[in-house]
Amino acid sequence: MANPLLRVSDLNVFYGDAQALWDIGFYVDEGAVYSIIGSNGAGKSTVLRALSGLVRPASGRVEFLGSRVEGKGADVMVDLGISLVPEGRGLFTSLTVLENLELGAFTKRARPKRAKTLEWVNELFPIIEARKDQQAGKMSGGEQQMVAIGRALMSRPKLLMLDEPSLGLAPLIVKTVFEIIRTLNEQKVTILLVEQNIHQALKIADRALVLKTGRTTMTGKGDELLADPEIQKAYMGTLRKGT
Amino acid sequence: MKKKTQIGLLVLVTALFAAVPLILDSEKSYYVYFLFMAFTFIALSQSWNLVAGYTGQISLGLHAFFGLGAYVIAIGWGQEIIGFFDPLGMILSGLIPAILAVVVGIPLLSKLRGDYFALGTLGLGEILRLVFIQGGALTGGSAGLMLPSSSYTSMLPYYFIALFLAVFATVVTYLMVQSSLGWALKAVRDDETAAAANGINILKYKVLAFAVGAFMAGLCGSLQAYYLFHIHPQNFFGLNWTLYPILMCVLGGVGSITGPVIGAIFLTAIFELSKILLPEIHPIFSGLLIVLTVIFLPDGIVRLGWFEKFFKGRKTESPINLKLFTGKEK
Amino acid sequence: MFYLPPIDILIQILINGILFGAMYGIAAIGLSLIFGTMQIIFIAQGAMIVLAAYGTFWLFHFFSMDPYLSIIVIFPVSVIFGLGLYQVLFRRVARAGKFPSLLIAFGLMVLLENLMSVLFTPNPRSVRASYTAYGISALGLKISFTRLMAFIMAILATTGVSLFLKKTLIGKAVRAASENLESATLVGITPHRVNSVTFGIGIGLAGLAGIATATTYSFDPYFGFVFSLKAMIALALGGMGSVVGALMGGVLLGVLESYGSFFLTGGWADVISYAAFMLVLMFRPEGLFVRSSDSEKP
Repeated sequence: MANPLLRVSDLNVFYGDAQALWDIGFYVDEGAVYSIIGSNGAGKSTVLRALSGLVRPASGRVEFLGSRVEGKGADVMVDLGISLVPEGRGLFTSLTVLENLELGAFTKRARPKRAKTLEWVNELFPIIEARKDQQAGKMSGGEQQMVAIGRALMSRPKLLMLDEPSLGLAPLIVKTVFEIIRTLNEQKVTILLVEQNIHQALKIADRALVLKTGRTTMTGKGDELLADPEIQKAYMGTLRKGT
Repeated sequence: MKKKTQIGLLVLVTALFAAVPLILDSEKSYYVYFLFMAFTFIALSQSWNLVAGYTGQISLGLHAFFGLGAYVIAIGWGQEIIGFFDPLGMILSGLIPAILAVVVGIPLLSKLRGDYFALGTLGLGEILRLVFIQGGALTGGSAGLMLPSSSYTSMLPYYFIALFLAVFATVVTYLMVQSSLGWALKAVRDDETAAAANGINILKYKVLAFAVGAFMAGLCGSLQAYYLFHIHPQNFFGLNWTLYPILMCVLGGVGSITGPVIGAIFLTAIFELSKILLPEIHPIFSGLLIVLTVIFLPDGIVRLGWFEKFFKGRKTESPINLKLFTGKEK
Repeated sequence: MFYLPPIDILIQILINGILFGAMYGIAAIGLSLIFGTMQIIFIAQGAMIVLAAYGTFWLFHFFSMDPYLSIIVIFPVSVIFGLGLYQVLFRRVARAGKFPSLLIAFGLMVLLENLMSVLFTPNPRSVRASYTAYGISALGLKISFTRLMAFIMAILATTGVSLFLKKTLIGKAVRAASENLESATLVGITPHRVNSVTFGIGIGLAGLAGIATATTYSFDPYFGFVFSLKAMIALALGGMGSVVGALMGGVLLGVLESYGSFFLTGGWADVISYAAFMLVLMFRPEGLFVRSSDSEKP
């Protein structure tokens, strides 16, 4: 296979004096779903924040489409094609749904295709079109998550990163969210997923990485990790029956 | 530096300054006047430094407390309640601003967003200025109050009181910042919400620091009142009494103990020089200096590499983050 | 003993206050925009207004340019000046949080006030055009022409800024960045870009307020500090981050001052408006016109 879409090597991130990530390395193939799992505070979100340009890594390489991109700002990353749906969704709550989506296509690359992308997003999420003039903050959690994903898609990402998309949502909605991820993947969107819902995250993933206190403890294919007794013991003792 | 070295250095520097009037004629020497002003500004700068260090916020109302302290003396003396260099008067000139600081500080400091504090303290100075202009015979209106200047006998008491204020303010700031409480506050300052969630009542200590700062500023005001004998709102509630100490702290290094001292001596020298050489340009210069310092020297002189190396001091962190973006997230 | 004047005088005072307060409103909208994206109160706004007032004055003095015609010069120059100001002074420190910016604004205010004092002398100035004393009389009320013009400029400015924020993509980006800067950068909005836009508009509005000031007031280099404070009061009354709120805050302050100076001697009226400012800051910092549910951030 050709070069992967994203290759991360020896990534180190600090918050002030505290090191949050130690020598993280992995790669994401084009068209794949890659999951990063781990418990609370393991540094999963930090990986995404570093890749999206919100946090500047102290050292390491990030190659995207064959060129080095580490250290660039978030506004540049999204123009290059890396888009993040942040934890807690980060919608502009006082703006309407449609305004949120319009701003999703703010970058130079995405702006000319805005109308066409909007059609695509409306097709994916019919509920968004129906409520386009509503204030985003007044929607339910699940709807807000869809708007957040829709907004990220408006930038025409080559890599869509989702940070805990199922957090705080009712089980039925969680199911919908994962269906959407699957649909997007079928439409050739490469996905990097961070999840606490480990069972679902591994089931959907081609490959995955397990993080513990900022370090990689395991990598492998999604289904292999899912069957791994250690993973089952450490992370899925109680979660299994629920999902 | 070790603690013993620090105390030794403080005693040595204080003794050196205390010996100055033995060498120079305190009545004629310009240097004695210069040091008198520098000591006053050291005390004012430490007052601002303490508030910034403890609350992580910018006070723009130092002149409110300074002017209030001066008026306590002026009105008290005018009404013949207190006299010349009256200890009771000087204590009152610290206490009354401190009480005002508590009253204003509790609501302003309980807000998590800093601008309210900066704006509120700025507004406070303006209110006091107007109130004292409107005060009628009691405050002398915009012409102010004249005090019996025949009381003046010697520069020496001014010099030593100013030196005492500077040392007092420096030591108090040092002790408060070094106390275990000071460290705890430093730890939670960046994440106030978390601190509040953990039930740490930091408001109490912030208000305390604000009141102590106001106390020092009021004392400085009373000393200036005794020195100038003419107390009027335009001077004593002038914004310069806030502007200069801020500038001195920023230039020297906010949040360090030596920074305000260095900044105050250095800038008092520059201001006195420019008053003589370029009287017209002088206020423009201080505005420009504050802009340039924040842009090019945000961490202050004490955090320059050569300075740290020279003193082998521990790296201190500026409490109000004047540093350029380094990658740390909120 | 309390003397209640006849109703037509009370209405006259009300109208004067509204017209007067609109000018505070223009200044407050500028403050509000800059506050939205940079989280700082731009203390030097008043000094900018006075600078623009001097611009109007000198254009009138040397070129006999009508103050209202000078909008075509003053407004674009102010916008460009604002953009430049951001690039030169604030760009480097903008990401270090708000304190460096606040201190720079403070230094800038001192610098400008004293620079103007040296260049233009501290003597008070005012633009005296042929229509300065002209008033419109209707229904027994007298409305000053220049104040009415100031009011119309305020309404137009408010409408213009509101439309800009609602209808244009960059305006929406400004609103987005004001609400959530991190999310804004994630969709590709460069913080420097929205910051310089708000600075440009904010200083542009200071230009308009400067024209209004030059035609209605007599001003000196230090007049701006009080104007900044008044604009802050308007902002605090109206709630930070709302354009219409800022205008309403300004009008409310104008009315308060107008009645205040009628019933009390001049100086005490100012004390009352500052006291109102302090009380609002201390007890209702989200502003009087903002429902508390709107000001909550998720």
